[in-house]
Amino acid sequence: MMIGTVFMDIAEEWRNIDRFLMNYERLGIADQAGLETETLKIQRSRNDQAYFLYIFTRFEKCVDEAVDHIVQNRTQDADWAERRIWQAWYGTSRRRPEFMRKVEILFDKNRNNFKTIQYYHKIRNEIAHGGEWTEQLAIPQVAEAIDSLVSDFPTT
Amino acid sequence: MGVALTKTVPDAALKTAVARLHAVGVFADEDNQLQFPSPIMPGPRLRGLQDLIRSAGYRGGDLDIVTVEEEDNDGLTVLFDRDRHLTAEAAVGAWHTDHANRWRQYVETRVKDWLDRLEALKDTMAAWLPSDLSIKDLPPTPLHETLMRRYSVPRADMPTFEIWNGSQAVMRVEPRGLWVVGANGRVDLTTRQSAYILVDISEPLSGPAEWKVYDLSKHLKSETLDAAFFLGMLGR
Repeated sequence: MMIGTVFMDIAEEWRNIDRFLMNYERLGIADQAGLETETLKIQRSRNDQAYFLYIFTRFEKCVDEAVDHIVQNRTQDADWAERRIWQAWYGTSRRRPEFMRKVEILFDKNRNNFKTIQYYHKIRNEIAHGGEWTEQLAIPQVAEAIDSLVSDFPTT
Repeated sequence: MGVALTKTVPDAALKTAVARLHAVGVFADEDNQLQFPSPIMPGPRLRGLQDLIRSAGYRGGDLDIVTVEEEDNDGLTVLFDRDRHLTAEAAVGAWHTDHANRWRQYVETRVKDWLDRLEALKDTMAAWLPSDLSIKDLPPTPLHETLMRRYSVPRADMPTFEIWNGSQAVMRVEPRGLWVVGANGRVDLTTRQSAYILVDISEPLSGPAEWKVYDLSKHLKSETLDAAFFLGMLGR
């Protein structure tokens, strides 16, 4: 596993908090503090969701930067005939394509990379828009997967 | 004669298309492996696709095509046998029923596979234990996740247990769930010294588990779960 990328750094922060919450249960402090084990489990799960969102927002920034880079490569010094479709698609700084449209520039829609991002994006929307995400999140694995996705971004 | 398709279609995708068309008279390219023509202008490309599917063994009637708006998709394109489904609506209805049945079977298979992997984990841990340590069962942890409820798959029980040294519990092994984003199942382990997250990184239904352990008291670094690491967790 790679250590030191922004995603793994965030996962390290998550680890410190998750360990803190888990210690409550493990050391029997929860009972003394009047906390129910079930309450702690819910808190850990919400912490997972918060950190998932945190990781995903950083990933969105990486997608923006990668697409910016590609569009720039395709339009800079290019003839109008070459650059027109890119410029029309990309719009203006006030109105950019939505997130998954940008991901289509980075990965083939039929490939697993695209499907993983589509799945993560759905989770991000569920959590961010107040939905109830009940499935577990393995934050270290998510951070590692996103790290790997970013390293697979094309540059042209 | 239809227009030939421009890229190679995987044999497995064609076989699936033929099998579903024969079974229920409808096939949706859920994995986007076939080159479906636009339903707005089917014409020669639809005939090209039909020729291809016939060449793979399809023996039904002429095919038609319809697009269904689905959440998270630009639109799911459904191919159907006009001899079996009079209207596109009937074909889409048949696809929804078939899709739900297939998912129910898939979820049931995944649940059974997860319970088998948990039992295998317990057996493995029991085999690694020194003679002075023993396993004591706890009430099972219920498994009834979203997909199970969506497809009416009954609640299941995940084996939950502790490892005891004489009169003292030294480790609790508590499964958290199967559908884990980033893993194929998760188990929490707690000892008197630390807390661990155990994740199975194997692909779903690919065979035995590939357990990785994260020790939450140390920098995130996954370790393979083996006898030495397990005994280390128990302070042996």
